Amino acid sequence: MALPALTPQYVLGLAALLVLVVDAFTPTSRKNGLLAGLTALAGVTSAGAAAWLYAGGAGRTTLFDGALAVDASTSFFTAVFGCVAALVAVASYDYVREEPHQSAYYALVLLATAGMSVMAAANSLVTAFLALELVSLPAYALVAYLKRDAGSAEAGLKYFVVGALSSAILVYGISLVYAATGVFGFAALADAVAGNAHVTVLGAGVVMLIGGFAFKTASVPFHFWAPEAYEGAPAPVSAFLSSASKAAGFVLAFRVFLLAFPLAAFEALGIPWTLVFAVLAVVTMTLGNVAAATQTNVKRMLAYSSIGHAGYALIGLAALSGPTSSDVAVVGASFSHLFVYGFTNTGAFLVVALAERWGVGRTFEDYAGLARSAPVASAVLAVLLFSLAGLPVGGGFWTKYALFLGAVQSGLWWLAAVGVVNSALSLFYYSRLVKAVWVDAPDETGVARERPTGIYAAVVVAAVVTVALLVAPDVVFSWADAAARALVSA
Amino acid sequence: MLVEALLAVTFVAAFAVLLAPARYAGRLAAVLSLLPLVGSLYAYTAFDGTGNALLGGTPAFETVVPWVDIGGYAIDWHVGLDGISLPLVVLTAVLTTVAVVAARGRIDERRSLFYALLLFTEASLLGVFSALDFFLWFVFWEFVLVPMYLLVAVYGGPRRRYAAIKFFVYTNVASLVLFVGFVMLVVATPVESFGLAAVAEAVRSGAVTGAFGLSAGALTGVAFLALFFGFAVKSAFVPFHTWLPDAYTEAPTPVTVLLAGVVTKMGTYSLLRFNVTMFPDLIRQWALPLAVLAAITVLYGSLAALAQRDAKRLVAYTSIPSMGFVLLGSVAATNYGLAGATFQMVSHGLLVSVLFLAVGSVEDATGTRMINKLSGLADRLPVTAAVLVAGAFGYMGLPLMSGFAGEFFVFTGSFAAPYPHARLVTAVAMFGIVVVAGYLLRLLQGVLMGPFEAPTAVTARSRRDLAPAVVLVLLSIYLGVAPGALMGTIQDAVGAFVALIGGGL
Amino acid sequence: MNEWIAVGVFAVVAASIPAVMVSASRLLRPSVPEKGKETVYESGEVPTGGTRLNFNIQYYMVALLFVVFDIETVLIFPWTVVYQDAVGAAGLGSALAPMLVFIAVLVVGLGWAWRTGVIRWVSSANTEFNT
Repeated sequence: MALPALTPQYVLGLAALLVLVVDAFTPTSRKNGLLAGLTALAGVTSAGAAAWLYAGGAGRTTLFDGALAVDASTSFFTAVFGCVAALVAVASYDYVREEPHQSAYYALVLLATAGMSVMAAANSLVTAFLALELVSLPAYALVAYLKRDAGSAEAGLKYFVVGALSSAILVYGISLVYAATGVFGFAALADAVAGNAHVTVLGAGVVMLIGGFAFKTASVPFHFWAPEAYEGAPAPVSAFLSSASKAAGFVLAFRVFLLAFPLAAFEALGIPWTLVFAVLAVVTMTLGNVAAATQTNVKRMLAYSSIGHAGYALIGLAALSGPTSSDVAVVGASFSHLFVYGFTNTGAFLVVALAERWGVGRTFEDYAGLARSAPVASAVLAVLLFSLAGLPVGGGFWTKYALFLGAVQSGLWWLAAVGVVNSALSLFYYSRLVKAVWVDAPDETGVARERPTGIYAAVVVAAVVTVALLVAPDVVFSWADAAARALVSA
Repeated sequence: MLVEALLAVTFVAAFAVLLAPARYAGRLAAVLSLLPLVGSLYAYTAFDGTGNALLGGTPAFETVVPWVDIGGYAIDWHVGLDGISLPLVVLTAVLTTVAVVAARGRIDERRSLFYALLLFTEASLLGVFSALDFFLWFVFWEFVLVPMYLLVAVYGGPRRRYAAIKFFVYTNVASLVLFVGFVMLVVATPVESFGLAAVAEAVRSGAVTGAFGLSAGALTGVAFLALFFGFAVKSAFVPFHTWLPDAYTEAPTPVTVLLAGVVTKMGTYSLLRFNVTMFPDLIRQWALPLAVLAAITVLYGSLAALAQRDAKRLVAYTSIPSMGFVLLGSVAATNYGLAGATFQMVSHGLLVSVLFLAVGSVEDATGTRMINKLSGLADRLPVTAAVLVAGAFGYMGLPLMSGFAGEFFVFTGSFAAPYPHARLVTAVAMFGIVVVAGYLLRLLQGVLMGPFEAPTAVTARSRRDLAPAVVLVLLSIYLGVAPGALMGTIQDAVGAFVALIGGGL
Repeated sequence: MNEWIAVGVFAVVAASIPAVMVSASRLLRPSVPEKGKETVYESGEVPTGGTRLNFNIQYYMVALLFVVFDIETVLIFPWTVVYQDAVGAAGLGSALAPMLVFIAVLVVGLGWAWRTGVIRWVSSANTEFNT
């Protein structure tokens, strides 16, 4: 059966509207389960539709006069977003049970997911910007969702201010690129930049675009919102933002830079943008990991570690060297890293959500001895953290080393070396949390903990997928490879 | 399929023990650990491999299945055993059973987790010794860290957290360095897989091209050094040994047995596999500095052991000179040197475990490990004393025990080594044996002889507890009397290499 | 290079005009301070209360909904202008359906806001500007 190419996007958008309609008809009744189920179902359905589209192998389909283009990378990332949204929705079932405005919460999650999947299909700077805003605006509201909580409200405000600034920078960059080329479409841009006469304007525009993407992916120099926002936001929202929203920023950056700004043309103009990304990758991974190593607050540690992981994923944009095969390899490695990271990091934040629900504190010391009262969650946390550190307990092992391999392949051995040092550093702070949970003695013994079904299900699924990707990574790797090929050789 | 069966059985056993109630976990683990032991003994009897797995030999129980494709490189599930890995597989299985049995009565909290982690360690160690693809090998190599870290951090002594983190980060840095070095090497060759044999073939045939701004020769050198650094940390050659005394001392006795008996052998085994077998030219060229490093390791380790007052720390330090002997034999690149190094790994694994079990038994009975607080225990703890004496004499190289055979082979091979001043360096290293004998005798004299003295009443543990140590002593004597039981297969594997580079003896 | 000179000159001129005007008036005008000039509104009305007061948050909600429909108009207006031609060129379905979808989405949002009480005006004793 041939599905319309935008089926996943339609599913997510319609589900968001459906949530509002359901709530509009029964505004007073409690229906948290129904809405969470609807959201999770929409996420899974869109991911399934994306997989179906990929299996159908239609190649590249352009729609709406070239404003959108659906290819393997679209379906790959749509699957990531759908899965993360489903996990977050299932976990939110327990997390927002006592909160007001649940329908708004789920609708915002769905709208942001829809925006991400449109980002993954963007084929013009205009649709890219619109999709980015469709992700950002719900995200601001979601961060501030616990509006009676001072931390959540403050985080939302900070996120909004930095987000508005970076949106302004991004749109200014788009206008400069337009000024230099006169077109918005990626394919047209690729033609127009070759031998462009307005090198300065174009270069300034590209740098500003990089700034805009750095915000969305929480990379240096627009990373500083991330620890604040992730710490203050409800933990499922932190999971959503640090996994899905980051991946969305990356897929857009990959699409823009691979489709619209061909490296060869830019090198001829004297703007080798890979160098910018190489510097950003080094600074981002180093800063993220060093800062994470000094944190005492678990959520902030995870926030900085997610900055570090953005640095690893940036290797995919830094280590492009020219030969198609090695470019496909490194971009594919970056894609699969974001896929695995989507599950692993979401799972880790959801364990934090679980701890928040139990009223465990926020620091490492507060997590001491959690393994005695909650062995399953603690085992899951250990697996997820070790996988984030790149130990062979999860799919993160393959993707991290594939990225380093890609960097070495394109001659950037120093980038791989910096990555290696960072990886060792990350092991230090991840193992600190594992140590706190498994080794340290709890303050009080014999605590009985409730078992919120939704969050437990979500974290266990995240851990199982993470481990499964260690054993059978080829399913995802081949898809990521096809996705990379769709962009590199387009 | 035998290797897969071994791995699968061990992993499944680990999960089964993890889920078992704490009361039965120990017994279940002891029974289940017999399965891989029996399997490895079967592998020993049914072994039909010939030659060196990296040099065109036919490994036994070999399987190759395509697994992952990363960046255009095929990564295979490729396992098999040859004469170098087979003894270590058997050693792993033996020592895991010993560790499981030795843990009875010593571990009293979270027992299911403890035994499960021991079995997880065993499974990944078996993987390290049987993997013939770099990535697969690296998976197991890195995975060993996880259960080992938890075993030291959760169940260790008072300074366990410091020791565990130090061990964890230190060896992981080393692993990552060797990873980058090896990957740089592979990228610079036309090989499109990480199969060890294929890479070895490419390096040997000079297919390495210049890359990363380095000439082919410099690149090979960098890769060699990166690999050596990684293995040197794992096997604790001086000056990369500082994690070892802390980790060995803080870990509970059963974990120390695995750590000292097998985990350090990962380093020396991989040194033989990678540095020696893959880079025959470089090992020739750099034999002298490496042999000097080996001699320094021997002397420094044994002199440092002299200064220890804690019996367990002393035994921990005795591991360092033994690893130095293995390095000395490996860089000699002669038949007896390489075979002796492999034999010495097994022998040291057996004997160091005996010593740690005996010292652990002393500590359990008296509540202290401080040599100056103990005296005259021979009467009160006769079995423990006998085991300690047997282990120590085996260590000193008493003829008819495996320690003598291993060291004899190593020195014979090293004397005949082709690099300059080989005899001088070997003689200096041999002096280390004298020092080892010195401090082990001091330990025996201080703890066992003289008037009885101990801080608390001595409560001898049941004799059954030392049964595994006795078994290990018997094994060591068996290997000392009949080293041919292992030397045949080992020499078959190293002989291929020695023949290739035209070395002698 | 040269086309940027025009921009630079323009910027300089644009910045200097207000500066010149302000400084010229300061030099020329007589200085007659009197109290009436300091009032908030120079319209003769005497202001009541302070300037720092809380508006009811509900004004913002209404303003937000207004902005939604304001922007909607921006899209609908050009559409109506070309509607006849569009029907002729692309057929009724292609010309009408997208706009119907667009409005339907907004209607769902408005309906939800309405039903969940966002635009119901709630009196509150705490704010000064109640209805």
